[in-house]
Amino acid sequence: MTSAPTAAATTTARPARGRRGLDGWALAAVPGVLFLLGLFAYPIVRVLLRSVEGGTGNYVRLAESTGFGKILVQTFWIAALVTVVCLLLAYPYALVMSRVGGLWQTVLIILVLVPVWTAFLVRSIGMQVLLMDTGVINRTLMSLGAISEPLPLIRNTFAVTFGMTQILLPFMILPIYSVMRRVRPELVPAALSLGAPPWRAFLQVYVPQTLSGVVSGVLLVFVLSLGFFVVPAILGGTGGTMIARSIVELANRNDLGMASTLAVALLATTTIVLAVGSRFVRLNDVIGGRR
Amino acid sequence: MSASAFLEIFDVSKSYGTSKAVDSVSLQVQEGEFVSFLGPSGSGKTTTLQMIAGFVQPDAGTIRLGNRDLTTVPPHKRDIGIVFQNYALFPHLTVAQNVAFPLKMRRVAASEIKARVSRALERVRLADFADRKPTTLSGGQQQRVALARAFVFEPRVLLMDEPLGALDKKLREGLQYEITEITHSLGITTIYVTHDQDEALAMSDRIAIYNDGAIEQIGTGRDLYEKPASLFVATFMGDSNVIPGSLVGTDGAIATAVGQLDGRPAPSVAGSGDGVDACLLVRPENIALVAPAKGGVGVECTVESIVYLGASQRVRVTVPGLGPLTVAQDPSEGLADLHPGQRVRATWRPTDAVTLLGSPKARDRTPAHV
Ligand SMILES: Nc1ncnc2c1ncn2[C@@H]1O[C@H](COP(=O)(O)OP(=O)(O)OP(=O)(O)O)[C@@H](O)[C@H]1O
Ligand SMILES: [Mg+2]
Repeated sequence: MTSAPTAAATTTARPARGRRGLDGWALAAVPGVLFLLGLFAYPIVRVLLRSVEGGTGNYVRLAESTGFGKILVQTFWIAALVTVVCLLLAYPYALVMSRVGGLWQTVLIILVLVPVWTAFLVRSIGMQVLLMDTGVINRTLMSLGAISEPLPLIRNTFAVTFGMTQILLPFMILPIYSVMRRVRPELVPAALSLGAPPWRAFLQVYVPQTLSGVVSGVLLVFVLSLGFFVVPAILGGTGGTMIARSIVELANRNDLGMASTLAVALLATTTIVLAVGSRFVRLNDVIGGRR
Repeated sequence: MSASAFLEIFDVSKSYGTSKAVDSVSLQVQEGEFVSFLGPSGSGKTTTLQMIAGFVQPDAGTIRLGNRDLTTVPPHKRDIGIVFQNYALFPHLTVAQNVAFPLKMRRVAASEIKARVSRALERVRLADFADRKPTTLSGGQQQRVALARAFVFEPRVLLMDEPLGALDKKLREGLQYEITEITHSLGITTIYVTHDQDEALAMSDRIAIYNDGAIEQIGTGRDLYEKPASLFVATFMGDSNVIPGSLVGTDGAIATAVGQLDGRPAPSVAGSGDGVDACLLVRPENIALVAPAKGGVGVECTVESIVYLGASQRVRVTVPGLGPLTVAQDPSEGLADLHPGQRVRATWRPTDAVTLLGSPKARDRTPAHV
């Protein structure tokens, strides 16, 4: 996981109207600013410089190599897939969570939050146990006689998409849920009373109120997916390689120049996605702030 | 009542858990009539409205509109316009798009939608705001958009649940006039929920007084004020003096701590016998203070305080053995140089006193009216 989205979100956020200007209190933010700038901006600049050390050779290599290109395309493809699957799962989940009351709401929220509190690594390994050729799923199906050969559940795009969806789902659910909670409850009844059948009231009145949450969730999950490392490393094998993993591999092979170049390519695409996305939603909302 | 009522609610009930939100409510509304629901908080006004709108299913009873049984018709097919307290405008649509929404749902032709929307917006004096988003309008303007949206499709009934509740007093009065002007000129049958007695009096053809899930009495404002059917209605509508006692005979006389007093019996008194708890209701403006030696129906008392209010003054008097009474009088009339401590006699015409069943302690259960 990279720190890029959050940091980018903070720096791009528009200043709120009517707030006090910088004064003595601003000093309180200095440690945080130093921490973010020092540990983020400096390394990024170093990476940028490293990638152009000795000219633009690395970039030429990137442009010419079909291998890296394929990995970049695959990275985008998997990120898009994960985002779509997350959205399809998250919207109804968040809808139910915002509608039910009391105990059920608590249960649904805990189901979202507890995995977030568990390390990605632990969860990835847990999923490995589930998906392996000799894992729970394949063994059960085989002992039932449903299949004779283990299903290819691991070391491929499916495994990576599955694992990342599992891990990133909360990042889709929470922004959508937080917007759904703010939708005024009388809007749908008003639409019904004006003659809208329930499905039109839902699509034309309810859904538009939740779009900012959807865009937030989509941006968050897509950007996080682009830079994902842990899941592809553990579940991807040779089949589900993503760019972050290639960067680490290059770095391990001491090809820091090329690793930096790929990192810059990732950063650039992430920035573009955020820039385009921020035309539709205020980045402040993504991290839970309100106008 | 006539069988030709336009909107008929018959014996409708709704319970939540063990508590009855609405308990056997029946009501007939004529076409084009403006009826208000007035009553304390939690008395079932909104629940009744929601059953008419179709958002809440009654446990029992039927609702008919223009001779069609509505009970099982879903809300979007009822053709009933609603104005909510919080406006419920669609924030992602412009003012004009909001008003066009019900017409679009009815697949009205685009050119006609345009004409009807601009006519409706002109009616509520918001033609210049057509392309604004609702959130950029003031509360009063937003409520006028909501009103335009609710009448533009010519609903058969217009329901309004405290539509002016969120607005300040001055704005409310202007809008009260605007609303009745529109509903009357379009001939829309309207049910209007309010907490505000003055609002109900100013706007309605008839007022239904709600208490504890039931309609206590329905009638014109004047009926309710002058001929209250129960102690609850009497004390809920306007200020009143309540003198407790028990029935003597059936002509409306009651025995009180200060002797027997006569009153005009409310219809419910007829079937009750001697000794039943009852009380006499006298409005403050119907009491005159005279010299103690003078006769007439009334009681001896002592002036407690005088509050001058310009056009009128409120005099508080204490009746020994009975407690305080409030008298509203024209400052230029009555006894000259009235002062606290003075002994006077409070009198009224027997026809201005109403005898009602019940004891005023029952009043404690209902929130005091302000
Ligand atoms: N959805 C609900 N679930 C449980 N109880 C409800 C529900 N809706 C209403 N009630 C109860 O039913 C009773 C009547 O409520 P209702 O909203 O009809 O009152 P009201 O006359 O509109 O009051 P107000 O003037 O405060 O709006 C109240 O005791 C309320 O608590
Ligand atoms: Mg209510």
